[in-house]
Amino acid sequence: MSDIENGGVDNEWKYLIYRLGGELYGSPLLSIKEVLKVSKIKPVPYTVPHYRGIISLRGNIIGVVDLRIKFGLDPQEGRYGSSVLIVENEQIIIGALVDDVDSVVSLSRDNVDLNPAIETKIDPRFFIGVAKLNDDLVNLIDIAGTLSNEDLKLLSRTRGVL
Amino acid sequence: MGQENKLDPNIVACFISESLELLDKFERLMLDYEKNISRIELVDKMFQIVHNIKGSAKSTGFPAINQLAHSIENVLHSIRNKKIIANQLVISVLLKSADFLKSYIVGLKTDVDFFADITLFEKELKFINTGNVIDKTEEERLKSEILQQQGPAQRPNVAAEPVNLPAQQVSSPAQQENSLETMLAVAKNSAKPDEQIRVALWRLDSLINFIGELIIYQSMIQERCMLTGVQDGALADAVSYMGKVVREVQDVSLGLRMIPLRTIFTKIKRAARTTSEMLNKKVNFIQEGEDVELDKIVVDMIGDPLIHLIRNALDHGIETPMEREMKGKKEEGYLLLRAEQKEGNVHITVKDDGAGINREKVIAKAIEKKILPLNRVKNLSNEELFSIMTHPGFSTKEEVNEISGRGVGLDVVQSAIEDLKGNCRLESVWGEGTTFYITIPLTLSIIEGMVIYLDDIKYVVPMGQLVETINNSKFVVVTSTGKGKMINLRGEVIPVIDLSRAVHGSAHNQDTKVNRDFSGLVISYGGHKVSLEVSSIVSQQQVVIKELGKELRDIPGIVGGFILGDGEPGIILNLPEIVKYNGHLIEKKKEISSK
Repeated sequence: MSDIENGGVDNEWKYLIYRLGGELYGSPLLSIKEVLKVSKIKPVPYTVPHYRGIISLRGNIIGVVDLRIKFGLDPQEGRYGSSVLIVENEQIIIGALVDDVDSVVSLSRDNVDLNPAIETKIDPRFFIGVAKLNDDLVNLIDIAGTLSNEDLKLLSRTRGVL
Repeated sequence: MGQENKLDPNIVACFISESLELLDKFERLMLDYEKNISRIELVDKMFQIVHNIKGSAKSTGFPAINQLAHSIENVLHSIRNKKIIANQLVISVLLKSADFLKSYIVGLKTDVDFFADITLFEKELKFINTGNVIDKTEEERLKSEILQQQGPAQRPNVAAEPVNLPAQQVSSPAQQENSLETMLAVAKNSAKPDEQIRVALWRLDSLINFIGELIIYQSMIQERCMLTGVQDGALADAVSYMGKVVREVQDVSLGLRMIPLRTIFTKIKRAARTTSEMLNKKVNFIQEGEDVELDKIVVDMIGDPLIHLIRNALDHGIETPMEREMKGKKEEGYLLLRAEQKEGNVHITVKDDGAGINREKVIAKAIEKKILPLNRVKNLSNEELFSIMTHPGFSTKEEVNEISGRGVGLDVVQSAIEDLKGNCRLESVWGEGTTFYITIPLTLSIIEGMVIYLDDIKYVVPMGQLVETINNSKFVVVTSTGKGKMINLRGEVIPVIDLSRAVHGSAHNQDTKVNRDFSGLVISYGGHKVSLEVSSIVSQQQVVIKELGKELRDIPGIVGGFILGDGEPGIILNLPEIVKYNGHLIEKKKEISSK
């Protein structure tokens, strides 16, 4: 599922680096269609708490997931912006709310640790590894994978509640 | 596969869709003709249609279809020349042959090499055609036609076909040639492209979508202009004029998806004819409003429920001629299917003058099936009757039969209409008949909606779900054991549900700044009224329904999304479903807020 093999040429992969709380995260640039500055997100009833709601993007409605809440970070602490990454793959088009977009970097195989022995709340299937970027360490995640493989509904008609 | 059949798939697809459309038209004309066989011009039209199919079947490379069409053509020709009389048998055979052609062509859809045996129909057609006198000229005509068919590599196109024909007619007698020629002349005329083009649905949809976006941006610009008080008068004028044009463009674009009900009315007429024949019942079946136009998807979806209601009326409603005579009714039953457009909705009425619904029987059955409690003896209102009869699995007809099927009944009709965001009610008088009133929106992409506030968030609810709106502050709200709220609405006790809590749960900040006007939306739920208290009502307006992301499908209580003129997105609520899931939702919300 990960984009690591087909993400680029010659051990060089382009990643979008963004912030969540005090931490740095990175996701394959190819899976991110665009980045928006969003002020208002409308909540949707009967969804999980980290489903922040919907926004309108050029006449279409797109759902937004709050990555902070999803990854169990403090939802308030040090929040200083709100950017939405529009993530698209074959299964889904959805927004991911992050604090701020930092940069786009080209990583090489040498400065990525693919099997770090660290504790994380991210599903191991979608945790690519940790990148060493100057003095910082960046969590690399397959954002399309992690967003298209979860159930955001609180209730479902098909599951026959009642 | 191994066949050396080099058919161009594009041409075949074109032939299939065109022929199916033509056959529908043929069927319609035939049913009209059956009512009045003196209308010979209808025979001409049918001849043209069959002739067209024949021509394109030949040029596309389907000789069997060509041959069968030819036989049908011959029968029509004989009718036209008054050589045979279009009696019940003749018409039935023609209709059956057309049906067969249709299924043949449908078969080609999945497999170009599909082949069906046409000999039986050929024989039948020949039999009715030569039933009176054996017609030499016809035989000769057939022969020459077949010869032509077998000619090497001869594949004339549709337009060339009529030109070829006069040559073969040298052998036919002069008087006959005349009428045939006139018919062919008409046929040639009709081969001219009619003033329509076929467009793939996705193209239309994307056009309509883009226009929807255009409107949103235009209103954003307009609002911006007003807010900032643009100095440039010409700019302000241009923006507001553009608004008018854009809205007109939207009206036109929405009309593109509209098709008349005619196609399904024909199907229904056919179904009614076969059903009454099978049941030996005499019925005067009247259809009104076949020109009423609806969104294609709506037309496709409403067909089966209507056929169901018509069959029900014929089977369970209208009595046999003998029964009717005994009751002092006209021997011939009356069945009406009427469609009319009023505002944004189409109203469909299905009315019969049959036996009506036996309420006692319904009550007994409902008690037996545990739908009603044992002690229920009071007479049923029409609403209650309807809600019992649409209960899944409810059916009062003792025996199962071929026509109305088993088990499935009105519940299927009801759920289909619900899917279309419409509603259905019935009126029935024992001994006098039953009437169903169905209301469905013209399109699924726009609804007439009520914009409301729940706390500080805007929502839209479909107008179709509302019975009325009331001002709750004018009523005394009484609680039961400090819990269930209720009011007395004109003598009826109805429960009051706080919609803001039902939707947001108690976790949501109950913004005190929100102006509450204590409006209540009254809906009908399971035959009873329920009042849903909202923070305030904003306006009633047309709302374009926007599709929500995949992750939001199948959430109960949500119909779809919307984007209003200010560019703000929101959710369209499904009120009956919210009421249905209410208890559960509140619990779930509490669970989460306590975490």
